[in-house]
Order: sequence, then structure tokens, then C-alpha cells
Amino acid sequence: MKEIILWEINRKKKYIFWWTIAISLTIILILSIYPSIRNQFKTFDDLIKQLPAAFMNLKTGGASESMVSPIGWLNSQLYFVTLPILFLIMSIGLGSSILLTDEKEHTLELVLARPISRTKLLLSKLISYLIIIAIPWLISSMVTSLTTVIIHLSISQLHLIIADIWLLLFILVYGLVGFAISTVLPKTKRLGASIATMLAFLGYLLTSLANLNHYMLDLAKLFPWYYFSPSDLLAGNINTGLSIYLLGLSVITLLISFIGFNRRDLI
Amino acid sequence: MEIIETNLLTKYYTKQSTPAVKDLNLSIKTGEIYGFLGANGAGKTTTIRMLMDFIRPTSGNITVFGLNLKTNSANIRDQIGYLPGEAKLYSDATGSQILDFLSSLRPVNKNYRKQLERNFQAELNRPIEELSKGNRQKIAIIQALMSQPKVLILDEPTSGLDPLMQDIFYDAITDLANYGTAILMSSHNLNEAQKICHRIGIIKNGSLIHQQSISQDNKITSEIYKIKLSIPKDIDKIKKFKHVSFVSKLNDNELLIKPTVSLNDFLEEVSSLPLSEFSSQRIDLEDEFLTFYEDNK
Repeated sequence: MKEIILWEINRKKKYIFWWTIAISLTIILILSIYPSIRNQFKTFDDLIKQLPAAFMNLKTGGASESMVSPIGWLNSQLYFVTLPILFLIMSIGLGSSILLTDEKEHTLELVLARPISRTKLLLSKLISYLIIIAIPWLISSMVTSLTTVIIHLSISQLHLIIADIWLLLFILVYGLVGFAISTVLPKTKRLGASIATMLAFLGYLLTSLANLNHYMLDLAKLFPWYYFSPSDLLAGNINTGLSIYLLGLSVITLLISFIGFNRRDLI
Repeated sequence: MEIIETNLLTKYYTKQSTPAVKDLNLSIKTGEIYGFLGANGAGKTTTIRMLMDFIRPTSGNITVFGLNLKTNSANIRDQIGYLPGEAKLYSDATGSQILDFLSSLRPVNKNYRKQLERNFQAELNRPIEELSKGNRQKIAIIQALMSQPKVLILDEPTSGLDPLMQDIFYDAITDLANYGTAILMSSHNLNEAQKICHRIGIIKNGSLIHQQSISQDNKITSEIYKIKLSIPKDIDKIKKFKHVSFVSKLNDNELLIKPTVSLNDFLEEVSSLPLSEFSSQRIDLEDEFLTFYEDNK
């Protein structure tokens, strides 16, 4: 199993490198703007208060903090939209292709022609997926921490770590949805990625607009994004609902993947 | 000793009313090279993929070394070397990296691997995407053979190889068969099957329609007779004969036939026909194969 994981990570070296660079640069760029905002706090705060509520919700998810406060800035500029979107593209793309690409190219058969059970193979792919996502996440988390220190952004480092950990769990779940669908239904090309992306996009949209309409609020509660509240996490408040939701969804998707893959024919 | 055995193996794919493989009974012994012949879509690759447990039979069962494949799949695959048809290797990796990776999943005899790399003159240090089809096939063959498995399952192994490399491949698998490896090899190349196989099976529309041993002396498989009738309409009479097997019709009054069992009975029946010409022909595997495929068109 170790051999398959190392092989997979080795093959994704460039992928990991470029995603890490892209996400880290985005973080540095966004955070480096903050000192100039902070110096004109009052002006920006007044300006932002004049913006339509729907627009603000799309940026903040309905968080009550001022967008120009440290938590508000991190929430609106990084943790509620930018980082989830970047990591979701990476996570869904990788999750839905890590097994499927090898299967479509029939290289999976070379591995399964060896004494490796389908369960072990899938587990190896799953662990590879987790490691490949975790590397850029870890580095970008360190970049975030370091940049906040450099620009004197007043935020607890512990709270940043909490937000980062829940961000990781959040994006992994969507990747696992893509992983499960592409593992069980490999013939339907890109179905896993499409459904996971649709779930993410709908979740984001409904959560952002949930305050405007109670129908949207009810619908939003079905999606993980609703429970993902970075402003709470950055304030050190761990959301139990999010934890249970993410854990439950992960277990279900993993069960579906393992049972489905063990039962079906390879393509 | 029987190494691979299938019993009434049947596979229906979803949404298809006809089976891809139907009631297939195969058995391959230690040290035997079995040629699995058939046209495109006949069911060769489906059978091979079932033997590898990549796809599951709808009914029937497979045993390898006397173990049920369904319940001992990973253990059995420890002893199997496999070459997929149209082998696609990891395109961004070099041959050497791929062989190292696959060697790490099952121990190989390093000297034997090096010998194969040398014999096949494999290009090991260039990415697969830069290699020709033949050079990719060499890497694919080496990965299948390098663990000196007790069972080898090869889907169109010489596809893309030049004649020189084909001979090296034949030598390599003959050596493995001599060492005791049971080999199942699908092929379109009848000369190849005739050259190296101990036994062949012909599959058509998912059913094994013919099996025969290949004699090692001249590889000639059987004898057929060409007859010309003075009265064309008497052709229909032949179909009622018990000891005459209809092979193919050449034109209105000429056809190829062969005896079912006894030559004497065959000749007696044929002599009752108004013959204007009677001659014997020896047919090789290719003729035999075409015969089976032309029948019941």
C-alpha cells in the first residue's frame, strides 16, 4: 500500500507544487492589502455598510463582524469564499479523478494484476488523495499564519489553526463526494466532479442568500456550506453541527465508495 | 495438473440481451501454452478480464490452482502475470520507473528482469509518451513476465512487435512454459498460435466452438476433401449424410467436406454422389479457423 501511495504522490509532484504556489500567492496578495484597509478603517466600514445585503452575504456568508475587522477581513476575503473555492477546485478535481483516470487508461489493471485487493487499492488511492490535498493546505496555512504576523493582523494563531482544520475537513468532504461517485459510476464521465461542484456551488449560493428568504434558509441547511462559518471558527467557536455533518457525510461517501468499487466491474 | 479451470462461465453485460461469453469451459495445464483465438468481439478479452477478476461472471465459476477466484482473488493474483490488450502504461513515467514500481508490488527476480530488458532491448529511460507502440509493448511484456509467474495471461501479446522481437517473445514464453508456467494467450495471429501453442481454442459469439491440440511435428491440423459434383442440385444431399461434415461451399457444384469420424464410412457416403472430381487437401490452422468462422455465417 505504501508503494502505491508514494507512486501516486510522486506522479502528482508538479500538481502539488503549482497548487501550493497559486494558493500561497493568493493568500499573501489578499492579506498584504489589509494594512492599507486598516489605516482607513472608518472610511471602508462606512462604504461597505452602504453595499446591498445580498452582495455582502455572498462575501461574508452573513457574518456579523465588520468586513474590515481582522476576523471580518479573513472571513470575507479568504475563508468564506476564496480559499474554499481554490481548494474545492483542487479537491473535487483530484477526488473524482484519482481512481478514474487510471481505470480509463487501464493502468489500474497493472496494479490489480498484483496481489492487491480492491479494498487496499482504494484505500491507497484515498490516502494519496488526502496527502496530496493536505500538503498545499498545510503550507498555505503556514503562509497565512506567517503573513498575519508580518502584517500585524490581530488574530489568535490558535483560532487560525482551528479555521484551517475545519476548512480542510470541509473541502475534503466535497472531494470525497466526487471520489465516491466516480468510484461507483465510472462510466458516466465527470459525473462525480459535476455533482460535487454543483453541491458546492448550490451550497454556497443558498447559504449566502439564506437570510433573505426562509425557503432558501431551509434548503441551505441541507448543504455543508451552511454549517461552515469561518467567522465563528476564527473567533474560536467550533461548530458542532459542521463537525457532525462533515463526519457523517464522509463516512457515508466512503462506505458507498468501498462497497460499490468492490462489487462492480472495471471499465 | 490443471491450473486454470472455468466451469460454465457466462457473462452478460448490462443492457445486452446476448451474452458476451456463454457456458465457457476451459482448462489449462501446467506448462501448457493455450492459444485463445477468435474474431474481434468474440469474447476473448471478456474471458481474460474475468480470469483476472476485473469483471465478475454473471454465472459459472473460475478456479486457479484449485482455488475459487471469487474468494481468493488477491492470493491467486500473486502468481499471475498479466498483459492487457492495448496496454497503456503511465504516460509520464519512464519504463524503468514503471518496472520499479510494479516490482515493488510483487518481488521479482532481478537477474531475470535484467535479462528480459536486455533481450527485448527495452528503452527504459525515456517517458512512455515518447515511445513507439512496439517499444511500449516491450515494457508491458517485461512487466508481465518479470516475476516468473506460475500463470501468464496475455491479451494480444505480440501486437506492435517486429518479427525479431516476436521471436524473442516466443522464446521467453516457451522458456516459462518449460519451467511450468500455464499460459493463456489470446491472438489474431494464427501463425503465431501454430508456432508456439500446445493447444488452441476458438471462441465465437462468446462460445468455445472448437479446441484442438497442435501437433509439434508439422502443425498440420486435419485433412479435408474438395469435391465437384456433376449435378449441382445434389449438394443438398450431403447435408443429410451422417459421416460427412460440411466445411464450405466454393461455388454451385464445388465444396469442401471432411469426415466426421470414420474415413471408410465417409468415403462410402461420398461415393454415392455423382462426382466429377475428388481431391484431398491438408489444412492448417488458418484454414481451420476460417472454416469455423465461415460456418453459420
